[in-house]
Amino acid sequence: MSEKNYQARLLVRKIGLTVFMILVSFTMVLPFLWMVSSSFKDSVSMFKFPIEWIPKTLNFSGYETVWKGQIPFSVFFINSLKVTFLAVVGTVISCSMGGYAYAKLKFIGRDSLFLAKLATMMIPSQITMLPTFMIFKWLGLINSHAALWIPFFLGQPFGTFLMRQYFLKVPDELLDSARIDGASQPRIFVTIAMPLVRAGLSVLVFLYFVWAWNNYEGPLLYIRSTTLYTLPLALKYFSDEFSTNYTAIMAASVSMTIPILFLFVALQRFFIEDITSTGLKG
Amino acid sequence: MHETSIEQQKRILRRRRKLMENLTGYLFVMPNLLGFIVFTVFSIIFSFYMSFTDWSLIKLFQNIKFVGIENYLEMFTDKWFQASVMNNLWFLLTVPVTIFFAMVIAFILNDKVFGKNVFRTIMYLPNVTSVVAISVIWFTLFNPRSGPINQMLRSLGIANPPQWLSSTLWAKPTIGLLMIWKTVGYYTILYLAALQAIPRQLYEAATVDGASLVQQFTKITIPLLSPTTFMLTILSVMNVFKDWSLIQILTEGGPGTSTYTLGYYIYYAAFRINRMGYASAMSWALLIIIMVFTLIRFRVEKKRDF
Repeated sequence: MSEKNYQARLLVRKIGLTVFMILVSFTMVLPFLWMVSSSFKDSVSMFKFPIEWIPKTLNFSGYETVWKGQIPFSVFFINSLKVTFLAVVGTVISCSMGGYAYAKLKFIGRDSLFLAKLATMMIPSQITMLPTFMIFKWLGLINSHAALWIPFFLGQPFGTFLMRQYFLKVPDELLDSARIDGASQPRIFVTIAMPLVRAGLSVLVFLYFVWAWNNYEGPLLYIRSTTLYTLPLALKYFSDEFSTNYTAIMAASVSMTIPILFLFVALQRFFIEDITSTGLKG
Repeated sequence: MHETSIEQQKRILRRRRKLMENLTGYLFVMPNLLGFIVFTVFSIIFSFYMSFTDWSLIKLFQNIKFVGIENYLEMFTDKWFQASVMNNLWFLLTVPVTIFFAMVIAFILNDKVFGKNVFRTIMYLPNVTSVVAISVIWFTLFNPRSGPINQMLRSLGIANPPQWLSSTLWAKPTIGLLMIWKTVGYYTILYLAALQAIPRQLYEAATVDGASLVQQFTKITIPLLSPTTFMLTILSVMNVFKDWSLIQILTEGGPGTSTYTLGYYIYYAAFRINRMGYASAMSWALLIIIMVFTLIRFRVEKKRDF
């Protein structure tokens, strides 16, 4: 077998496997394409077979129902933006402070505290879900957005762990020399340490943005009034309310997913490597 | 005399610095610590306590009774609980399937295709999409009467295609399929990251020796990925038992008890029928079941190593 022959065989294999992967990708992407295409059709043409991927006439009635209905979608959109924004701010503050302390500060009980925190990550959320609900009930925060974002200001175990990993890579000498120059710890943290973990911060922001934006279980437990719904709960509400108006349901799905899909596709190359190298979320 | 006072001063200074260090340390972990105490330590203790009471949301505090291990005993006679556990065991079938597909796809994506990054992005898509949107889309696709999937099956000559989510026979496989679809991409990406650590020369040497792709996969990839596989099996077994939103959105446990799972039943008991005490007891049962599976997994891993 000649070298040329061998190279040709490899190329054929590569093409074959690429075709196979295109087929696999179709099963991942087609549901999304169907969602977008269906949101512009009426209920009759939506279920026509074979599927008309590009609708013959564009029908915006679904979007009108969703965005100009009794409670316009913008209300839910703003609720989601508000909760997600506060959750991300809280995560950044509490997780980077905690991560920095666990990585770079010396205090009594540091390592046992950190270990305890790690160990409890394995406990299923169901155990803490009910008592947490009771706590918010006693605080009178049921049916308020505060119940959704307050926990983020009090340190997420995974985020703290993630930031600790990044702070560990910051050289001690840098921080020490700043301290000898008389800088206080909070100052060193803000002006020297934080700028050095920008990669970690972007992963943290991305993961918790997606997580808070898509969080369904939290609002399902805590939010009662429709006007306080965030997008995931609103979408569920729409699909129950307009159970046969598939156009509206699909328009609502598009309205909620497309922004985050775009954000992901546009930004993923900056941090997908980091996400994978840091392991698991949740 | 003079010297000792310097020594003393030094000691006081050192002690003050130590104190300052501890104070700053605790200042920095304060939010974390507070959250840990309230949402983890207190919650765990409180949940354990609740599991021995008939706690409910509508009862007044003073009417809550201590019921001993009654809640734990009830699980042995509760048909819904047993159905949930059996369904969970059924759903465990999705774990090897997901892991196998993820491994194969990662193996293929690792330097054997054009446009690896595009595929990687596509595989990650379900992970950034809301579980509600995913459920709503697939619910429509699987619509028994007019959904595209059954229309396609009918056009292929299958006169009575499955009723999918509304059939007791097919609801479980359908949910299982969605679980696989939702997680396979994420696992692929984790495997892909692990594959980067395997030296390329290993595969090149194997290729030169005439090893086929299948041989390379079974002889090199699977063994060298086993640490990732180990971690992912533990994680996914845990998720199979505790995840509940997909089921809450799609079937609410139905039809009948066919898609009840432990995670969903705990939610249902606590928030739909107001039995916080019983739900707490079940969540401890959930922890024990997960721990048993994790221990078994550790045992299997040890046996293979030595």
